[in-house]
Amino acid sequence: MWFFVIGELWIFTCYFACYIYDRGQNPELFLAGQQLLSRGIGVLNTIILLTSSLFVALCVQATRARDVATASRFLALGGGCGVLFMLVKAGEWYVKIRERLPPSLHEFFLYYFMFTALHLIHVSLGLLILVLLWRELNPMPRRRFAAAPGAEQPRVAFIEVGATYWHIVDALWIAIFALVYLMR
Amino acid sequence: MSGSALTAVAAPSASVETLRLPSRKLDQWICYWSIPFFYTLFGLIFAALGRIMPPPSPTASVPDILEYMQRPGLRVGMALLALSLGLASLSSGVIVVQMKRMEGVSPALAYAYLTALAVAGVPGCLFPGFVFALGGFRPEYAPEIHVMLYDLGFLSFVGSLGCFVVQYVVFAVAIFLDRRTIFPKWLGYLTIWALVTELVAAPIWVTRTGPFAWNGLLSFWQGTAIFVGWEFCLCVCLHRAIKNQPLEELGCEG
Amino acid sequence: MTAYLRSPLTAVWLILTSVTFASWWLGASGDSHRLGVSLSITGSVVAIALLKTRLVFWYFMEVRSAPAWLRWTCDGWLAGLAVVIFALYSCGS
Repeated sequence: MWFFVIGELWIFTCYFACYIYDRGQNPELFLAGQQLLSRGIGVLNTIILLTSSLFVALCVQATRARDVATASRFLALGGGCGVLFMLVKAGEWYVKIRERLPPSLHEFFLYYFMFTALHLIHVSLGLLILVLLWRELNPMPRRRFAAAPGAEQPRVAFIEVGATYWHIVDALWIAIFALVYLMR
Repeated sequence: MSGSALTAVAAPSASVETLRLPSRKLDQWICYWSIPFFYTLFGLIFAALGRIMPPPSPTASVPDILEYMQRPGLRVGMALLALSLGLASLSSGVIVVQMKRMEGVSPALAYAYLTALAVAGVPGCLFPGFVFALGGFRPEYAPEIHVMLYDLGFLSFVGSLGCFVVQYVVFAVAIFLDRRTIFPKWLGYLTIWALVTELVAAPIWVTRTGPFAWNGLLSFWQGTAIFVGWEFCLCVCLHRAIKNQPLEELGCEG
Repeated sequence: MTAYLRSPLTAVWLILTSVTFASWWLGASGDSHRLGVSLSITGSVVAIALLKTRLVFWYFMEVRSAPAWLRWTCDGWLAGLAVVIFALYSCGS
């Protein structure tokens, strides 16, 4: 999984490099486009994702302590934040698309939509992984009855791997937030 | 079990087994070696002859486009393509055979892979081939038509990278679910990583300049480079999978 | 459940959130009518982002207790990204 993480970091670095280069070529355009973005929403999304990361990290702690009930609760909270992130992002997009953006800012918004769309795909994949983690913590009833109670322990390594992916999603967003919404 | 009995009989006569290996799996090896052959041909057709890879600029002028379409290399290349694209099915065939060996994985995934690749190959390869061939073999068309063919060919060729996503997803899911580890898990992660870069080809319809154009750094170069790397890794893993396939499994499917 | 919340991870989260607000303030700072190119703001914003990412790596992803090669790779990537960003940024403006 860490190789996958490094791979993702690599491709996003390429994207960021292109973005910064293009930004340097055309600072006015990018600045103008950035003005149209809502920094507040960006901050909100950042906080949401940071919180979800916290919950997922705590879930890992709880799993290690074999406290499956608490771990599941943290996982659900983390996943809930993830869904919230997507909803806020969808709202942001909806507003942007309705606004009929000036075509001169095309280049900036292409980057904006591409980065956020790619990130959203990662968030969706992350949510899917969280669901798999949930299933690991709360196996289907027939599995539970098949073994003696307490015999089926969740695989901590599996939970850790899934959590790692979720944290990368968070880390990538931190970078996107800084580069797209904030930097000048 | 017939399987273990066969191994017990085959084991002492190791020399006989090594003699029989090439001929028993020959069908798979032929399909396997078709992969590098096909891709070399692909490189020749698309890069050397057709000069479709790397793609020229979406903002090329009309005379440049006309000159591009009339090159004899393009015509030869596309004719070759029409004849040889079928080779790609050999590679899907052998991968499907290995996918069906996976335990805990429904054969539906293997068939989905086969179909996804076949469906994606049409807009990704064959259709642009025909479009460019049309431009090459019918020089009498009006320049506007040639410009349209130029656009259509490249948008189809580069833009269909996303069609291959289903194929990748199915393959990755199968690898992760597989209890027998026919293909290593890292290949599954690599596949998902590669498919993300394929998705970046989507904006080529929207922009004609910059990194998201069809000749752009992000939409074309990165996706293609990673695809080449992935294909290479796939070949290595496939080679190992075929080699490690126990003899008693052969001829048992179907 | 609250017992878990008292872990150092929550402290990290607090740092991350407050630093986010700081970077928001920085990003919006300058003047209200025309925000211009500014190396210092970009520098601090990017530095904060890199710091945040490092915290996420170090604590949430537990790279702190990971084998040396992974720690070096993560730090190396962060450093590399910083270099790339500033190099390209300086090229342009």
